[in-house]
Amino acid sequence: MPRLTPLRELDFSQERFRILSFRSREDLLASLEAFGILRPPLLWTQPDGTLAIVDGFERLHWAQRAGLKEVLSLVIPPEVSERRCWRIRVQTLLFGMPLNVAQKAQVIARLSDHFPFDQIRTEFLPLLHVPGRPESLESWCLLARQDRGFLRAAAHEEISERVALELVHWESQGAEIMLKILTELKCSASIQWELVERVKEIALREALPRAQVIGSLMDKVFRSPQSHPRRKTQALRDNLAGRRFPRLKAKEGRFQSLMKKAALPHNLRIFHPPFFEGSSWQIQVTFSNREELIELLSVSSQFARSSLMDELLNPGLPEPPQGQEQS
Amino acid sequence: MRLSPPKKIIVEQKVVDSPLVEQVKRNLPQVPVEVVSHWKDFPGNDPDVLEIVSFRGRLLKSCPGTKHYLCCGYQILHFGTQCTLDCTYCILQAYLNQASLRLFGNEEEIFQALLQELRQNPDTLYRIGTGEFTDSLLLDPWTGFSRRIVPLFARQSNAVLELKTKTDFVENLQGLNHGGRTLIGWSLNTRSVQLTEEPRTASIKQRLAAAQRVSQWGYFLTFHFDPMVEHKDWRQGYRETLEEVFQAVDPSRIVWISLGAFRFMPQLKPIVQRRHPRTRILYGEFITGLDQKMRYFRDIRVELYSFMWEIIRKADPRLCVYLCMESEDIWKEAMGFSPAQKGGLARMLDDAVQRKMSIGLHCSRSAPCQHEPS
Repeated sequence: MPRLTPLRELDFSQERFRILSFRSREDLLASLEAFGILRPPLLWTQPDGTLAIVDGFERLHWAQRAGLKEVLSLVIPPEVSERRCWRIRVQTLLFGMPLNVAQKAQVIARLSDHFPFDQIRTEFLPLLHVPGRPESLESWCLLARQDRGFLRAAAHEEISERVALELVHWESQGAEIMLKILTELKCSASIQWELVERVKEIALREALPRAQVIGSLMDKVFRSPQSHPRRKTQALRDNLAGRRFPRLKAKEGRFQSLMKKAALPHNLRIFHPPFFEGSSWQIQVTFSNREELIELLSVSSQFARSSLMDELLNPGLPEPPQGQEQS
Repeated sequence: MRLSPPKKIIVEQKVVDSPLVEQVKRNLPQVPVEVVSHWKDFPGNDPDVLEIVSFRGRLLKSCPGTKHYLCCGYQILHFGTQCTLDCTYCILQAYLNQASLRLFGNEEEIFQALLQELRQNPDTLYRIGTGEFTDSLLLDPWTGFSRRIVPLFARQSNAVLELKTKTDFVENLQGLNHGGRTLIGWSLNTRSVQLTEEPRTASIKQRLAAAQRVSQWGYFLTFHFDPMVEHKDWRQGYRETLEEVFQAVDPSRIVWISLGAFRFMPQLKPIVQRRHPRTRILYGEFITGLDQKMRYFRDIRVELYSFMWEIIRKADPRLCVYLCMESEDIWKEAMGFSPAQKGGLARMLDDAVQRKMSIGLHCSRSAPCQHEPS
C-alpha cells in the first residue's frame, strides 16, 4: 500500500537503480507542475534504514526542489533483497515508455552485477528483446560504459542499435570519429551499418587503426561545410566502396567510360551482369513508336558489331591496383 | 600431427555390436563409453564427445552443387559428420547444428547401399568421396575405416574412392589391397594460410610427406587448392607449394588437381567473426555470386586460377586441372577452354580416371550431377 514518506528519509545520493533515459524532461516537468505526482514512486528500505529510490527519480527530485515534505510512495521492506529489487526495477521499466538502447544497456550492465549470465539470458534478455549470446551481453555492458554523448546518440537513435554495439569494440579515437560522422550525416540504419562495416573491414584488411581509415576520408568528404548531408553520405559511401572493392570499382569505371565512348542514345541502355558475375548482359530499349524502335534496334545492331562491344565483353585482365592485396 | 582422444564415446544401442564400435573401443580403451537407446537422446553439442549412431538418411548422394556453376558429378558416401580441425573458413560451422563428432556405425548398410548403386549402373563411372561433411582420415587412427572401405573398392570395376584429408594419418593405408582404385587427396594451401587459417591441421610439409608415402604404396593422388585465398605474397606462396608438390611426388601419380577460390554462404560470416576473431580471410573483395554465396570478384578468381594453371601446365601439360564450382566464362578466361569442349566437367574427370588409373574403361556414362548448369 502507498504511504506518505518524508523526503528527509530518502538517500538521494544513492543512484544504484537509476537508469538514464536521455529523453527530454520537459513534458514530465510540465505535468508535475500542473498535476503533481500522479504515480507513486517506488522506494527500497536499505539495510541501514534509509530509503533508496528504485523508480521515480525525476518525480522525487522535482518534489525536493518544490519544497514538498512528504510524497505518497510505495516502500519495499528491508527483507526484500537487492536482487529481488532489481527484478522489480526491470518490471517498472518494461511497462513504461519503450526502452531505448541506452536504457537497455544500463539495465543489462546493472543486472550483470547481480545475476549470473544464464539467468540474465533466460529471464531478462527476452523481456528486453536482446539476443542471448555471451558476446552480446559483453557488448551491451560495454555500451553502458560509454560516455554520455555516445549514450545520448544511441538513445536518440542518431546511431542504430547495431552500430552502437559494434562501435563499443572499436578503439576510442576511431569510435569517436565514426560517431561524429554518423550524427552529422543522419543516415538510415542500413547505411550507417554499411559505412561502419566498410571502415572496419578496410582497417582489418590493411592492418590500420580505424581512426586512420575514416580520418583520411573525413577530409575529402567533409571539406565543404555547405554540402547537404545526403550528398556527403553518398560521397563517403562511394569513397569507402572504392577502397573496399578497388577492382570491382575499377571495372565499373572502365564500363562507364566505354559506354561514354559508345555514345548510345539515352533510350538505349546496356547493363553489365551484377558484379560482372556470369554472362547475362542486358539491353534496355525505350521507344514510343515503331520508327523509333527500328532506329534503336539498328543502332544496337551496329554497336553489337563494333570493336567497343569486344572491349566490353573481353576486357582482359587489369593490373591489380598497387597495394590492394590483402596483408 | 597429433589427435587428442575424445573424453567420452556415446553409442546408439542399434550399432553397439558394429565393427566400427569394436574398433574404436579397442583403439581408445581409456575413453569411457555410454550406450543410449536413441541418437536423439544425445545432446550433440560437445566437440570432445564422439558419437556413433545408426544413420537413416541417404548414404550415397551427389555433391550439393549449384545450377549456376559447373559441377563435377562427385558422389558422397556419407560416413560421418563434423571435424575437429576447426579451420577458420570451414562451412561445417554453418551447415551442422551439432558440435560433436558423429560417425555412422551401420557400415554394413552403407556398404550395401554403395554396392547396390554400383551394380545397378554398371556402365556408369563413379567418383566417390567421403570427405564432404568431415575429413576422410581424421578419425581413421581410431576407426580403421579405411581398412574396410579401401579393399571394398578394390573389387569394384566402375568406381574409384577418393579419401580427402588435411592430416597425415595414412598408417592404416599401408599394406592394403587397394587395387589401384583409391585416390588419396590432400587439400593444400600456402604455408601462411595453413598457419593462420588451418593451425590444427598437418603442415604442408607433413601432408606432402604423407602423399609421398602413399604414392610409394601404389595409391594414386589428388590435390585440392581449395579454398584459395588472396593474401599478401599469395603468388609466391602458391608457387612454393606447387613446387613442393612436384618435388615430393611424380606428377604421373596425380590424377587431378582442383582449384577453388574461397567462397562462403553469407550466414557463415558472423559465425567466423565470432569463432575466429583474428582471421582476416573474410575481408577480401567478395561479391554476391549467382548462387548467393560470397565469392571473390571474378577478376581476382581468374588471376588466382590462371597463375596456378600456368605453373601446373609447365610441370605436366597433361595433368587434369579443374575449377570447383565455377562458370564457363571463368574457365575460358583463366585456362583458355571450357569443360563443354571436353564433353563436360564430369566427363573430363572420368577421362582422367580412365587414362591414368585404367579404371572403368568400359564405362560410357558419368555419375549424375544434382544440378545441371543453366
